[in-house]
Amino acid sequence: MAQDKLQKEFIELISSQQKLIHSICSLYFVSVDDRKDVFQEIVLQLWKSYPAFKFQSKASTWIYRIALNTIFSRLRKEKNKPGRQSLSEAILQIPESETSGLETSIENLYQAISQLSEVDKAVIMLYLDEHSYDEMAHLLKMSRTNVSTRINRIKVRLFKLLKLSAT
Amino acid sequence: MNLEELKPLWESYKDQTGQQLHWTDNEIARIIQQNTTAYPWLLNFCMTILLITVTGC
Repeated sequence: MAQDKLQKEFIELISSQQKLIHSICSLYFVSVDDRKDVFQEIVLQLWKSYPAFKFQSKASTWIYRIALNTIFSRLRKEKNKPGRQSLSEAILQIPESETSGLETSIENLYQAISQLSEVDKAVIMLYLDEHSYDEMAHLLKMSRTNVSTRINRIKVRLFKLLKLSAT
Repeated sequence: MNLEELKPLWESYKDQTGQQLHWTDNEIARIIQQNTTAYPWLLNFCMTILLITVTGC
């Protein structure tokens, strides 16, 4: 059946790209339950839009678009709820554990990116995933100049944060 | 130091996160099937309510 074929193709695609979705979710949500919920929500949104996705753009660009829209919309709803703990507050409460050199570097990068604003996080993720300035501008509905300015600002902030965590 | 140097680290972060939070194909299938199977049930329920309203119980 055509629906079964479509479903099989979709699962293969998500399976091969799921590390990207998990990485995005982990940068915006701290609790395991929130990450699970958002992951499911994103997969569901991707499934709904899959019939219209004709591989005209890169799969990762499509995933970023749906994932960021889903996350931003959820964050907007959560901001209206009272008593919400901010991500930077939550990060400060994560106990430090013994880790290897690479793991420490990964943890430092995660912590540094986590402290950026919601939009800046998206910009740096897209940049590190080799998306062009035009793609970023289109995805985040901002001008190319704005993207470029933000990247320069993020660079300074990120290295300051990484330097702090290394000392 | 420049942003290019962070790219390999970003890849390692994605690999590590992907391994820790991996979902199997069956689990992914369940997410979309829950959504697909909800529609006939919902449709049935709405039709029943409509029929009850139209026929006045």
